[in-house]
Amino acid sequence: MRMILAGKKVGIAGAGGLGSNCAAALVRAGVGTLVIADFDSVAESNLDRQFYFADQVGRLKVEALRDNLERIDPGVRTEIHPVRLDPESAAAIFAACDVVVEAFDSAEAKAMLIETVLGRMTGMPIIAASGLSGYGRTDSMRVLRSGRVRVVGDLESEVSVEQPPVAPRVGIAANMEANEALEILLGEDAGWRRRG
Amino acid sequence: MTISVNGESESYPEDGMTVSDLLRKKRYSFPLIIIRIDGVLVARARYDDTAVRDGNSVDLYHLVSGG
Repeated sequence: MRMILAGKKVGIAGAGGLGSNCAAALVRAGVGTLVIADFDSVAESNLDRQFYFADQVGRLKVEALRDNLERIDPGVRTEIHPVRLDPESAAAIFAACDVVVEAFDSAEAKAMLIETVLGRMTGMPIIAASGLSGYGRTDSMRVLRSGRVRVVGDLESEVSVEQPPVAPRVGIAANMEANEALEILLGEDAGWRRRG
Repeated sequence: MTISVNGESESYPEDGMTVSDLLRKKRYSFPLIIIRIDGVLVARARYDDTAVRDGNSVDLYHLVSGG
């Protein structure tokens, strides 16, 4: 398994709660190359759920995440892009990936990336997350799979003041995304075929 | 007609309907939804004139903020 994963490249769109934790899981599992894009910097308010540390506040997330991933595995290859993704840049940056993981915060950005991958990136599998706010309700987390699209989460719990994103459910969604990515990366070698 | 919605079989008395009709029937009023019919993405501007027919496989992904 690790031999196959070492030759794989995964795109991560967004390095917040979903992207940073998903990236850590993929590196620990043995994925060889990650392509990570995020324009933002680490804020103190991110430390409640994102894979960063207090001494990294103020740094670009993509640079801090690269450092943290290299502390897990010094041999991991990363391509970092400190940019705000739009359809053009997303299609270009992730073109050579085996799968793209949607790890944005806003619903609009999630829709933009899914539509970009489906509309412009022929055959590219995408894993998105929708609905991970609050705490508890572990059983409501699920996966919708159809062709090259997979969506994890409860598909309904929107972030709000009363229902902020909290580490456990964000981490569950991030790890579900990583788990689906492994299925795609490993299944393909076992004859898994893309459709849709 | 019988269609598949997110992998579950659903039957409707109509012979056909538009994507907008289906969303109303399912009481979907979410601002951001990704819709595919038989794997083909339906643009938001085409919900009123895109048909859903017997045997179609429909994917409805409701996108909410959080990450």
